Amino acid sequence: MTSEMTPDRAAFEKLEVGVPVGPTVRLLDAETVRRYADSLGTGNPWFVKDSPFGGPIVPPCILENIAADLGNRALSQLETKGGGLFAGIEVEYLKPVPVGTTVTVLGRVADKYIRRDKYYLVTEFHVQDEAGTEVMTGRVLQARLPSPEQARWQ
Amino acid sequence: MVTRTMPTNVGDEVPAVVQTMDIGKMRLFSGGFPGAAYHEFNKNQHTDADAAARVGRPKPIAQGLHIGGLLQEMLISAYGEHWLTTGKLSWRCINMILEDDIITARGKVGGASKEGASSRLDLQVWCENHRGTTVLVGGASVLVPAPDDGR
Repeated sequence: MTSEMTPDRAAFEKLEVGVPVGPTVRLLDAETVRRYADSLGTGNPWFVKDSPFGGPIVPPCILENIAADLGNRALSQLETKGGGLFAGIEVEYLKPVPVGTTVTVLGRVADKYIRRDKYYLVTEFHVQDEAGTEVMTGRVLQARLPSPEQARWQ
Repeated sequence: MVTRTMPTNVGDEVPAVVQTMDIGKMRLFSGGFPGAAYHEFNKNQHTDADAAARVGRPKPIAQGLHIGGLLQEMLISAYGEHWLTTGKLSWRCINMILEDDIITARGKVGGASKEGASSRLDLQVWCENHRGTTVLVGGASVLVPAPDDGR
């Protein structure tokens, strides 16, 4: 399947490893944080009331979601019939982010490959707070599936 | 404050986190950015049955990072400030998570090594659904005070 030069394959071939994606700049206000905190369903008060860091902090998964969006942007030229899947992450937590912080997420296409006829993209990311301090760094792995049959569930 | 016990011995299990991935939670997590108000959501395979069907999913599927968020919650509950300042996490999603799946995030201390005045714990982490299928698998590490600190 992937030996054929389909429009998706051509778009994937055009993606250059090493090119920057983003940055994304985002204010993480109390409403955004409440939304993510409620999505987790755990009632963790550190996100909405107080934490040992002197006020509520942002759930780390918000930052990862912004980083993943950078990868989605890089893959936006693919229109695979099987859609996309988030495949994995490597992440290091360096500093909690207080609610109300504006973060900047910088990305770079770190790798790409085709495996079992699926397109994979690795995006390296760095999250900075308003002072430019790195608060999180990592890599996200995302897949695009040429066919719906390539997805699986059990 | 989050009440926590800190599993530090090899073989210790991290207290599990269990959540049902209902459509309400999935719309909050995956339908928000950019700029949607709390009760609004963008339609995609994680938030809407028709959008999911268009890419061949039987139901809306939970975003992998949403499930990863449950792993983080488990690790924050167990290791608190230590996790948020020294934690490292790596995982792969190996099965899709369908709407209304009940997900259990689990972890176990697999090793410990001295790192300066602290101890770095290595953990196995994973999530499974209510059918007993592992959906996400990986590893984590965190720096905690060495057992003899403060003596």
